[in-house]
Amino acid sequence: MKNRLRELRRARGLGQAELAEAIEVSRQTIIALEADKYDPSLPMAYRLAAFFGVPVEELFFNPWREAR
Amino acid sequence: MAVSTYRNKMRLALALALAAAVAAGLVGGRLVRAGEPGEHFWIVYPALLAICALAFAAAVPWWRKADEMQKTGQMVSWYWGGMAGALAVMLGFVAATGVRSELSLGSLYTMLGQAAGFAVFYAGWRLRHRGPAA
Repeated sequence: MKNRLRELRRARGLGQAELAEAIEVSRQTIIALEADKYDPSLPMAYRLAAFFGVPVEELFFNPWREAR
Repeated sequence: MAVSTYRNKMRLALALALAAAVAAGLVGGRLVRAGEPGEHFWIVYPALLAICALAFAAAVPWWRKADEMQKTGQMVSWYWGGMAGALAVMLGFVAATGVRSELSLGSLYTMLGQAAGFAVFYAGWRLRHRGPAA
């Protein structure tokens, strides 16, 4: 799922390991999310959105909504 | 340098799980070698199951701390890789020693145990995910 995770993380001045630590996931998970290699569950998507203070759909793009 | 708390917790939990698995292997091995095969079966077998249960319990903290992608990786790998590996070994035994050899039957029973364990856990999973029908 395409997303703005890398952009928002960099805007906060965080490294991948620091973000992973902050939300208690592995660094590999952050790398996979940023590379669009793994689709997060709703709880993880909301957790990340809450961390950055944005709605979920500003972080993860809804491919079905865009396809209309 | 920032202290990596989550990573440290994961490493600690993983070390506990691995140490428990090794300890279970050592203790279980000693128990089995203490008597003749089949001797005191109804004591040795439950004891071995209890040792395995303790080793499983020691892995629970690691499983709970693992994030969803790590868990998915474990489940996909164990399901497909574990099943493929077990099948490959069983088929090798069958091809090399025949269908009714002790090796072939032993691996068949192991796979039957896997299938039974799968059925029990899958039924439990389905029950936990039931909801009211509309």
